[in-house]
Amino acid sequence: MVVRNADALAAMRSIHAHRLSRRRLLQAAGATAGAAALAGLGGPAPSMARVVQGEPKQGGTLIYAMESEADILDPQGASGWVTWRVHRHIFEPLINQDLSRSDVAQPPLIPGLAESWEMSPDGLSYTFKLRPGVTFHDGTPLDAEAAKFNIDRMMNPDFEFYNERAAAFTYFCWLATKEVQIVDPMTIRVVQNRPFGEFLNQMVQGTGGTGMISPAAIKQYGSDKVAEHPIGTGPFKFVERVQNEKIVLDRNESYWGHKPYVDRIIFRPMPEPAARVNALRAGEVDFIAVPPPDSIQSLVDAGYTLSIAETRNVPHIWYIHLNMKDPTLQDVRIRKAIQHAIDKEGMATSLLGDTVYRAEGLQAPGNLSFDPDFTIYPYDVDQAKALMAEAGHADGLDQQLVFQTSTAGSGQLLPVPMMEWIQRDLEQIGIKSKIDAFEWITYIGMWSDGVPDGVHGMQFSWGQSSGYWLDFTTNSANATPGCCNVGSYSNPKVDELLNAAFSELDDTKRADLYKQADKLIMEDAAFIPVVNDRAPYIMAPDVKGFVHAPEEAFDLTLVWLDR
Amino acid sequence: MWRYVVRRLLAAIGVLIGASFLVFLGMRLVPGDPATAILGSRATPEALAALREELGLNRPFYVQYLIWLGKMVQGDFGTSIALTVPVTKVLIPKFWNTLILGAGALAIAVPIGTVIGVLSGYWQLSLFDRAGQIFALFGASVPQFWLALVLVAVFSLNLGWFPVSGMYDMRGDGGRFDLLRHLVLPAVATSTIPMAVIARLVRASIIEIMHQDYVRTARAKGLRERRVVFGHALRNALPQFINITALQVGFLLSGALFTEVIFSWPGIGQALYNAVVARDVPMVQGAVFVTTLVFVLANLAADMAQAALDPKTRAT
Repeated sequence: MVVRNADALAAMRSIHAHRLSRRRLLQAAGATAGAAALAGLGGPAPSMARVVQGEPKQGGTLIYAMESEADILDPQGASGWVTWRVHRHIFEPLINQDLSRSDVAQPPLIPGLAESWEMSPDGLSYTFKLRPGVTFHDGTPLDAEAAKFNIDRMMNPDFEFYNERAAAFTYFCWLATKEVQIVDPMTIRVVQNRPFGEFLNQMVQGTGGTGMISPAAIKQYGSDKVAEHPIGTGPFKFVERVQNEKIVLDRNESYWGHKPYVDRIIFRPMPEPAARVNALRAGEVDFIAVPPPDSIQSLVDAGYTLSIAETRNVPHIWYIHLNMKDPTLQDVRIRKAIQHAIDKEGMATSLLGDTVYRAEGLQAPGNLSFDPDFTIYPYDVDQAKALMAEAGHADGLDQQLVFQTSTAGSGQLLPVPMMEWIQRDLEQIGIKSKIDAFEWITYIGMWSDGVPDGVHGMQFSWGQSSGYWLDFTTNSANATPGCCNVGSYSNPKVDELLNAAFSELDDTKRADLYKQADKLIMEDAAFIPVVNDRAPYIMAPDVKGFVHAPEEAFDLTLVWLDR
Repeated sequence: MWRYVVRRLLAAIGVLIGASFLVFLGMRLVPGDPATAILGSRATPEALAALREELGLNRPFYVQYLIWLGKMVQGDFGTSIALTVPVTKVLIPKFWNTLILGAGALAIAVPIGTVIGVLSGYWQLSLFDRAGQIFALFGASVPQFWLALVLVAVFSLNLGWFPVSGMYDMRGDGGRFDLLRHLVLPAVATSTIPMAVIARLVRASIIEIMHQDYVRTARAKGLRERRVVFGHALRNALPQFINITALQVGFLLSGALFTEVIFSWPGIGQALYNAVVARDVPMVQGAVFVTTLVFVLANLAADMAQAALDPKTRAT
């Protein structure tokens, strides 16, 4: 009941409040996010252009209000972007993402706990040279033993500390991995059973991350209890977690890399959007995620800093899987008519206050396989009606289509009002539809079982900064049950392209294959891509140095407080 | 007296067992699989089957219930799915925080509600009575989350008198004064419904009592009005007051759910909200059961107090 009320409240506010004008939003974003995005003094990418926001100051406590409670603090066995934003400050993978730049299509891969790596020409082995002198927060040295220990925990069922949860969440990283070998005390080799072009990109994804945990901690507390004692190597050390209240991290004074400016970060779960905005206004938090779209303008007017993606580069897509087994939807003309009938631009501007972009292809942005110039299916009601007439439904469908969505959820924006927008648009071409909305966790379970008979589409939202995401969403080999082609889409030509991309080791060629696949998928009109999120954050005026990287996470080592 | 106490205790245990069954049943009827919730959509069928076995989800419903009940009686509420820590470790501090909020709200609701009720009842149909009735109607009807947002807008954001979230200033050192400052607005928002209900019920009972024969007799004896009201009417109304207040404890807990979310008060309501959103079955069961327990215990305590004060009750 509470969930519904909170949703209704947020939705109503968004619909009825005054609209944020696109120009003003862009102005605000340009002035603040642009400067913030390019600041990042002392960050790991010394060549980048910068706009100096003054001399960074050391010290202070940064309080960040997150949109929901975090999952467990086990970087390998947890899901969700909310949790990843915490994890990546405590734990580090072998290689990492450079989140100090906003002007890139995909965050560049940079050395993490491995100072260098090398792939064999056949792509069947990767040799990682570990960074010397790094210790976990408990003093355990990072060496080849520790790295192998962690990887075995994620993928070797015979290992004593193998963790099923970690294996499930990191499946797409290790699915081609045969074994891990120790070459010397500071070198490991990951042996693959087939070439996997996106292996390194999968290693840095946040939903099922590969951050390294202290083996001593895993041995001491147990593989499934270590989340209560999160001990990594990262720039911040875990201090305490009070469930539903706070997660406290302190600067790691002996960090090997760029040391953070702030002494302490407190992550506060505040699921109610109005509570986050109020806490920011009252100065009780410095920085909030997912501001309600209608609150943004007034916060900007009051001097708060808006940081929002200025190009379509955050790996997020809000889309609908169409049920490809449904007799009605088997006619591609009807699927195409649906695509033309939806006013995505209007939804982005009027309903969501320009906090999203109209989506074109299915591939999520934030990776090299995303084609920013691709367009298809402009909003064209006449064209949609013509397609309906061609399919023999000039007077509309005589059956009602059923769409399922969630009432709220991570990355879901305003699912019900957005589906209602689509419902209204479809009526223009004589398609009546019904929306069934479910509580988020229930819905994820339903979604992973696949679109049931009698349902025509299931809405979802996610994405990765890895082109491989398109594969597990559309490859017929990944049809449900399993993951994640839930509408049972199948096109042998698409599968062929995706399979070729899987083993293609050249980044450019692979990206090209994924682009071709995306084009075919969209010509089949099997999915309805609706919007790409611009991931707005709002922070107090004295929070400086924040960079809006093309990722669903950020690097708080760059942030400093001007107090 | 002892027979009455034993009878009430047995009844309370029966209510608790019934409630525990409903809580357990409710969580089993909701669609969705806890194993999928834990392992996510990418888990292999083998891993899911192994986890279902581990969690005992393959066993018959009544066996699952009895195991759960047996553990709960021993204070083991299971392990939170979302947080992987024992439910009690999370719930006990949260419960304490909710008690603080509840006590704050009661401290506002009981005296104000009782005074309004007594005066309205005594001066029935007077201007004060009408004003009191409108106030009570407002208190009982206003949505708590709306009131909470208005209080924040006025007293925190505009006037800057009180903080808007949490129990302590996360940048400060805490302390009792800090807690009190944080408590005021959530306690006021939580108190409105119980205050209104207390005012109306107390008014009704005062009106009834003032028409009793013994009040008329007391007046006829020539007792001073003060003596009539305090010595006879209010004294006889006390057991009912206690009953009314105890009933409000349950409503306070349910009202706290809304205010805890709006004010980010780290209590059991907020824990329940997060647990429901995360489909954390053991946590939901634990939180609902603890809330039920408080409700039952408050009513039991009220019954005992009433029995101690009013011999008629013991006799029935």
